[in-house]
Amino acid sequence: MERWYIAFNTVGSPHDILLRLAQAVREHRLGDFVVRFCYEKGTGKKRGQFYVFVGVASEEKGIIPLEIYNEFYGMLQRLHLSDHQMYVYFDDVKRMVPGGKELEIHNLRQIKMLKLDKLEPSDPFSYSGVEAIGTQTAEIDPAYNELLYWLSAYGRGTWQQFRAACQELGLDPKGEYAKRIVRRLRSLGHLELTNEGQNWFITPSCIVEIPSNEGQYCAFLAGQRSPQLIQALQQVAQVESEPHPYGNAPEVVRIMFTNQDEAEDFAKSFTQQHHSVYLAGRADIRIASVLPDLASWEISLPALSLVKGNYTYEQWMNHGFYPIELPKVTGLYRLTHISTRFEHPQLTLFYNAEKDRWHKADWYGLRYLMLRRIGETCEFHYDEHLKTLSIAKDQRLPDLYERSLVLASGRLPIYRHDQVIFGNISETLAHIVANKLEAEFIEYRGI
Amino acid sequence: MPTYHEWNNAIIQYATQGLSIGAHVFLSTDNETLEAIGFTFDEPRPDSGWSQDFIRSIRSHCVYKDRINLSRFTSPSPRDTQDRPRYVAFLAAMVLAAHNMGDESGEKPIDPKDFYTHFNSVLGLPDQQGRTEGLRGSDADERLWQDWSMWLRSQGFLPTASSGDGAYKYIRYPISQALLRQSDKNKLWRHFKQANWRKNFDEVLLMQRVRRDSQYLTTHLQEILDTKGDMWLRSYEAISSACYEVYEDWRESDENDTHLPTSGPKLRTSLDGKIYRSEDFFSGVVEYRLFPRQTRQSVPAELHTEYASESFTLTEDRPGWYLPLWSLDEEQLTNGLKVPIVSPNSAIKSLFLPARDFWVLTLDPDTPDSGVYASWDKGIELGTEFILLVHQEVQEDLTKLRDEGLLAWQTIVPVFDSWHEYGGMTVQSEPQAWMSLNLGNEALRLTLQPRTTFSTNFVGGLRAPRGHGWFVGYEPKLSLASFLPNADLTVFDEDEAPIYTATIEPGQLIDVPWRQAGNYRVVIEQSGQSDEKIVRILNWSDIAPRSMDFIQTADEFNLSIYGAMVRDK
Repeated sequence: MERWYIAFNTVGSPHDILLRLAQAVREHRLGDFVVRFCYEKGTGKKRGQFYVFVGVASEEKGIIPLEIYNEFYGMLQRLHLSDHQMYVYFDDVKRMVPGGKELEIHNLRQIKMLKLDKLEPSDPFSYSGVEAIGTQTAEIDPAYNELLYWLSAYGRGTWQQFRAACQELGLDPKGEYAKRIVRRLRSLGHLELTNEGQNWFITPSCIVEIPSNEGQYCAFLAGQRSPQLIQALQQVAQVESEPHPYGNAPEVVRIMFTNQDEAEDFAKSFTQQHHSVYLAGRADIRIASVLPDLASWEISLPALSLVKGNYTYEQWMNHGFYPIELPKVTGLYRLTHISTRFEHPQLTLFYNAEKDRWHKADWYGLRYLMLRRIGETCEFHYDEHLKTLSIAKDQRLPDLYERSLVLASGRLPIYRHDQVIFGNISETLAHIVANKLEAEFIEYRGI
Repeated sequence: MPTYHEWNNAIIQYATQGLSIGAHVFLSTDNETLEAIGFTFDEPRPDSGWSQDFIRSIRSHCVYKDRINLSRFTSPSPRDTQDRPRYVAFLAAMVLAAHNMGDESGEKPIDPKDFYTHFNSVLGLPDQQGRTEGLRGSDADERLWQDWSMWLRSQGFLPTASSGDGAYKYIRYPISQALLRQSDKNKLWRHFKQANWRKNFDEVLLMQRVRRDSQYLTTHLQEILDTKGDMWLRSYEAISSACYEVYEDWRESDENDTHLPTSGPKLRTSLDGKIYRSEDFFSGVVEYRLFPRQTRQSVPAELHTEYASESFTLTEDRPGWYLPLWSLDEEQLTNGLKVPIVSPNSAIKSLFLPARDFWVLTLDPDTPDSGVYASWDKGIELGTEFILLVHQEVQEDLTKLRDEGLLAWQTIVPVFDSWHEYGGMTVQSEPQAWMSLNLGNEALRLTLQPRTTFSTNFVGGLRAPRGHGWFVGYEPKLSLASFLPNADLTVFDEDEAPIYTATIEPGQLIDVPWRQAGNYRVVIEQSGQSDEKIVRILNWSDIAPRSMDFIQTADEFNLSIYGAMVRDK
């Protein structure tokens, strides 16, 4: 088979000719022979003569199959088109268009299909400017529980997949708020991101201990979760679910065993029958104890090699990003790639000018690092009576340090008067974290 | 020796393992499949082979006093305590007989009497003529086939066994399951050898070549390869898989072999290497990693390889695939690669990446939302975007295809000096239009030209892992990609009652009013052709959390704090 073109010299509107041709091809059942139609772009605006080219398929150029011969010429007659035997290939068609102008091409049987919107690449760690959506209520959105079940079922996946799931669950209509969701899930110890942020993986199911005055073993659930796990827990312990302060994360599942042995027995038997469940103990203290100090944390952050000329820069100053030429001083920067060849996500990075190194971490963490490196004081306000720790909203901590605070209660912090307030914090924990992050510890002992 | 029940359950497992929900299931049974199934018994292979052992177990369990004793596997119930059919090994014996039918040329029509000659021989009743005693005068076997279809539907699969007319009424069931009979395989094998085919075709390209040469193959093969035929549209993947297996046999065979070996365990000595795409999202740099495909009917084996002084262990990613290995360089992509494999418990000796001019990369079929592209051997679905990685020599042909309105793409990005990646590619024109073009690279045309004129795609919804379906409350929408203006859609529930009927237009998003959790059959009909798919809706409690090796994962990402856990180092 060959594809070739018949050139017709004609007048009028090419668009009208196309419509009449498409209809005639259907009526004369010539769809297997006549396949496309093209003309010089812009012809529609002109008057006078012009060429249209009808693309056909047959055994050989110039050969019109006998079985459709009469139908084809009947159709041409109906369309007032005369075949002057100008038979060409597509390359000739291109040459016949004056001045190398573009062609307007219509396939008579072109596919019709759905065009889907794509999520643009994004960096889950760069969530500055991503605001919370909707009204904040204390009621749990059940979709958050379903998100955790879904993550648990998959085990691991890509950041794009996570964002698509959040969209599908109605938690993130625009594909940006997922950055905040993933941070909350990390704080609660439910999942981890890889260093570059493009993959996530679920964390082990853990029974996390919290202090209890009554000799019982009080805990909450972190990590991989399923309806079966909660049902199994209900068989052996007192289980209660409660929403987070703003209902914007999977419910806190609180568990009360009579004693630690019962908790251990449950973990052992569930692991044997289903999937692994661990006793994490006092995760708050354990995590805080192994976290590095701020200087070591900075060193441990992934460093990126960047070609400086490839980006435009904004520096964080006075609670906002402002454009600059090139980064010269240590600080926090937002980088936008100048290339349009790829869809590059915007990056928020910490620049250590002395070592000429770019560091990547979560946005709050980098901001905290920057504040300390420019000599700003960060304060921890501890209330011994209420067991709360308050930190200024614009001095939020690096995510792993916040995780140690969140896992003291299993609940996300509340916000009041530009402060972020973590509950159920022991003085020891508050001191450990404050010392490691070079924060000023201010204790309120009440009256 | 395995019992009848062990054979029965192993055959069910073999027929359905690794299949996604909605897959068409064939109870294709021949000597080779029986050998492969026997391999899973964890017992030494009998001297006479697994095929003979299967026949032994059928004869001893299903035949009594020279007649089929159905009550032994249907009474008191055709299902066991776990609701599994108890009669599948018996049906498989019928399919085995169907496999042995047909003359060497494959040109003569099937004689119904011929089926019973073979079946009675399998049962050890060679003196009986026609329908076997025990079946004669009854429709018992038909009821078993119907129950098998019902059971498959309940599992979310699509049955393929169908009855025939007149004298073919009962024998059509087993014949419909024998996708490729022995004579078809022999003919294919000889064609590969005589036409001196290259040994580096992937499954998609192989099928296009087989289709092109179908005139030289058996009548039965020509029928099932007819793109207008029902078999082709509904069972493309199964046909493709069966043909590729013969191709693998031929590829593995000795140059001097003149016949397809029909007995003995199949030995695969090499793994096919495919490519897996990953992208550094900071720099936009794209990498292609070596992506080993498991051999069909593979059993767990320990496989190691070494590259650039680094050791790699092949770890399963999902059924059919190992995790991707190292990043390929330009030379390897251009010239191919063969690396040795060391294995203490399998015959695999090498991993082979063929030298190709182009690679088609499609989205992960189980989790398209992941944005992961690889060469999954699935072919191109109309209405879905794909990536084409091409060597520079192929670019001219691509321009021609675009100029002629057959293909469209959104981006061209250089990967290496001589390789480019065409992104957001879609097929624009119907199969006939592709036939009228002559290209420098014929394989390119054969690979990219669509095999159907319409396609049903599911959009959105919250997918369960490994193609198991969608979660209740987050079901998919449906869209049609087509060259013609509309098609008829019917959605059936598990009781085969239609719950939704509509005439739909291509390019529209169709919101099907799914009901509670269960399996739904979606049928699209257009111009006398039909396509069916299964949508399974799951409750949250239907899927267990993924079993993970947390220590390995923590090691992989060098984590000392892992969720709420602190790892002791």
